[in-house]
Amino acid sequence: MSLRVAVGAVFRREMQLFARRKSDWANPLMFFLIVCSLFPFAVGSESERLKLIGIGVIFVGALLAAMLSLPRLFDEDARDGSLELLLTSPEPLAVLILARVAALSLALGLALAVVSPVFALFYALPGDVAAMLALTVAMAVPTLLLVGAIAAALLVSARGGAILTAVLVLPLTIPTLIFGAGAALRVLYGESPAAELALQAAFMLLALALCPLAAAAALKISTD
Amino acid sequence: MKLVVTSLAAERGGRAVFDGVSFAAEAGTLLRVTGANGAGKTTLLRILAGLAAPAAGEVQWRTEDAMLAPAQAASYVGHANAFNDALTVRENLVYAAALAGLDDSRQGIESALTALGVRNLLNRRFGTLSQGQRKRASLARLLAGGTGGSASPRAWLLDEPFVALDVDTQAQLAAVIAARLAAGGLVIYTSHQAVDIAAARTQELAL
Amino acid sequence: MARTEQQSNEKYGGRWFWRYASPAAFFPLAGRIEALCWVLAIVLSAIGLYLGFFVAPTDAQQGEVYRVIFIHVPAAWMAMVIYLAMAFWSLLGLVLGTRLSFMMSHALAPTGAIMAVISLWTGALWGRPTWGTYWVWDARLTSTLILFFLYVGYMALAASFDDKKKGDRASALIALVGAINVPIIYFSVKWWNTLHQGSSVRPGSSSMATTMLTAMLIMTFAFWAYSIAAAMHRLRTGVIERERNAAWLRDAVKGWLR
Repeated sequence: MSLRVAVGAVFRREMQLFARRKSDWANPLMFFLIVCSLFPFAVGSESERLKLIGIGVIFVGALLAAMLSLPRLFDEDARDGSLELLLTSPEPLAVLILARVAALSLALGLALAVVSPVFALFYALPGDVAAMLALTVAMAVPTLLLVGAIAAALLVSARGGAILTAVLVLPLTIPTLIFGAGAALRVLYGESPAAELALQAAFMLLALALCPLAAAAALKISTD
Repeated sequence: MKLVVTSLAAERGGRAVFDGVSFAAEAGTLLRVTGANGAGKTTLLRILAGLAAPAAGEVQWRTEDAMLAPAQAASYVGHANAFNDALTVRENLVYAAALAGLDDSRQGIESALTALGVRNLLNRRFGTLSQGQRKRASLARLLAGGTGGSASPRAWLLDEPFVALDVDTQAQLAAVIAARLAAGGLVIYTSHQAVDIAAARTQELAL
Repeated sequence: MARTEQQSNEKYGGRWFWRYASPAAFFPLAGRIEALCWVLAIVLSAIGLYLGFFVAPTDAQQGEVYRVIFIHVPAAWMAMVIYLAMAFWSLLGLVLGTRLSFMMSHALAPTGAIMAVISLWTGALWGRPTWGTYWVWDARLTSTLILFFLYVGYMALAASFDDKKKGDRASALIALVGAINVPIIYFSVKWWNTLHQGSSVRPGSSSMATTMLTAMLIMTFAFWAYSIAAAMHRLRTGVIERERNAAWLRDAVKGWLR
């Protein structure tokens, strides 16, 4: 009973903070928009070429934008001391962390997923590809946040933590990147994306099962 | 509830802070931890709260039937206020109480704030409060849930609770602590200032 | 934790190898292992390189260029094996709390990273004459590249902590997370590779002449010996750094200076 109350409280607080500070979700979205807009300047605006790179650019852009919001998980709490509330709670830390990541995934992941099809327009991608992109980005962002939570926990309040977090986490997101973008590519070529989707979902579930525990261990290591 | 500490040793940043600390404290005891700066008072409280692991030794929170984990046995209030500036006092308290498994209902929160004389700050954003108000509001999380219920009252671990409080508020806090002790709680605190608190049993631990 | 050899013998009795969990006890042993492995590495490399570069026959398809595999393949294997070893010592350190385990993990990382770089670089040197490009995105090369990222991440994380004990445990955790991910990443990259390029570009695994195989095997052992020697050397340096205030070390140094 008290676990449900605690989880609800963590979730609610994240949502309250997002509502109070719009920049927390607006900035990553702006970053996403700008990154997606940069590539055509670099590779030329020829739509056939853009179509080929579009899926990759949008997917990587979404991952980078999600990456930027990782320090938000624990750094602010470390600064004002509320991280100790999590650490001294009788409820299992892994579940509380999962609740926090879930809130972040919902707010940010949903926003990124909804916006991705719009950027698909920049790259002359057809509607069904855009829809598949929305779905796979919606799965990839929680996966990245779950894995990233481990790095964010290890690097709480570290100097240059954001960049080091990216260095640690981005290689680990390659599977979800391969299969997420792969699914959209399949749709582009008119083939079935079932296999890629299944594998991406599998990684998300694996991350769901393992990462909160690792992140809890990581948080205890870095705040000892 | 009884706290038993055996041969505790602690390290901070690779250096030994203290060694061979042993003591016991029973319910209704007020234990004051004293020592020079850097002696490890904060480290000791953090270890008791379960936030840090000792380099050696053991900490046991015992009840008649069982041993408790620090998270269930004690509430810790450190130097920092542990409240988020962007949220209101009420929102912060509800969060803290829910995490600690205490009563986060409206009455619980309000009575906790009243006991510390800051009931009027209920819906103010935490970031807009003065230092003293912040301290008092954040101390209110100790009182959420009151002293009723079947579980034995929790121990309080307070690190410099009187800092940034004016004399009247210090007296108020002292009264709150005394009431807690009378109800069978255990309070361990550090303080540079000497503050008068009525207690059945007083102990001092010098690091 | 046992502080002297005597204490550890008393503590561990019959299980003699546990005494080596103490840096003081392991330090001289590490020195002996290191010396032996340097000798092995030099001897084996000499034999292996001679066999590989002078004795093994010219390849029917690739000519002389293929000879780089005598360095490329052992390096790639070592990059992989060393990461597993690193993860193993990290796990041991987290579970047992022995700081020597963490030090071993730190000692292995740079060698592993170097092996990955050698593998990638020799792969590029091989690729240019053979397939016309310095880089191909085949599963093994790509996985080696990612392995390199994991090594660098591990070392960067360990270096970012002022508190060494915290840094040990943090980097150990990330090594384990990486170890769990490596098979996942390898599999994903393989899939991705077959998806986009087909199996046309695979480094030749055609039947090899016996001499080639022998040379490759000897070079692999040589790389093993080198890696162990380098790791032991780094470990001893790490022990000296960490234990610089310990009595046993000061006495030992006095002994060396006499």
